[in-house]
Amino acid sequence: MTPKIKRLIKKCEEFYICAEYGDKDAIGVEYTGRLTMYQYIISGSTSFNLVDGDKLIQEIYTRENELVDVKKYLNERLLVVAEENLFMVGFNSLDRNVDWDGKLVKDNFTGNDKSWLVCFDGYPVVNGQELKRWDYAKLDNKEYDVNINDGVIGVFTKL
Amino acid sequence: MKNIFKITEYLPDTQQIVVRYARKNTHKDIDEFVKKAVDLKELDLYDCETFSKSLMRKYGESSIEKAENETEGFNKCEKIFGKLDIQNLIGKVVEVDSDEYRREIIKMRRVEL
Repeated sequence: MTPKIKRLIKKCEEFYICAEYGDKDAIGVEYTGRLTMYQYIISGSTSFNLVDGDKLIQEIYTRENELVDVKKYLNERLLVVAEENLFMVGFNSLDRNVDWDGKLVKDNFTGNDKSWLVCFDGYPVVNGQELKRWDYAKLDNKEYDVNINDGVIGVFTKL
Repeated sequence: MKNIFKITEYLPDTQQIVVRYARKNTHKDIDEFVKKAVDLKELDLYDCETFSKSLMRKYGESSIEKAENETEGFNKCEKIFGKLDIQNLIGKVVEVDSDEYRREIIKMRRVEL
């Protein structure tokens, strides 16, 4: 059976989130209009294969890479291969001229009103509220109490 | 198109389930469809929704498609190829594969922290 990629997407207020479920060996094509700034592999592994003239430059990503800054691919033609059954999420800018800084938080942190929090996995607790995958929040200039609880939380700040 | 599944057995020792699949609007009892064992490690067990979706995506949809392809449909149909001639299509029943891999909207929830 031909391996397939299932794509999911959601536009939020100032960014959008994408996700791909790929069967092992499935290949996705990304064009130069790509807006993904950060990628997180929830399960499996993927290779990003950059087509550069007559060369193919390959990088492999797994969950161990944590949150991967993929801004270097914004203007590139890319073949994305699921090296194993893959579940990958991405944080995207709405505008390629608007840059974002992204990081995973695992402990208490101080927020700011230019940032958004996105829960990618697990059931972490933030300020007493249990989050689940795909919950997101606008942050404020205040302290956030985090019990990561084996979950995965990304905080993205508009630069 | 909506699909359904029914777990008939859970095998905790091997971490497998035995499942039957069907179209929701089928006129056949789901118990008449073939059952197959599925390894739970192949599925997204995050919650009920990811479990159901990954089960159908990885196993259910192909199983249903296979069952449908092995069943003679009520409508006799044909596939069409080549240069388009609308006049020549009048009265024909035409078979078309559905686009099964459209983008799906992620159900995100905004919360206040």
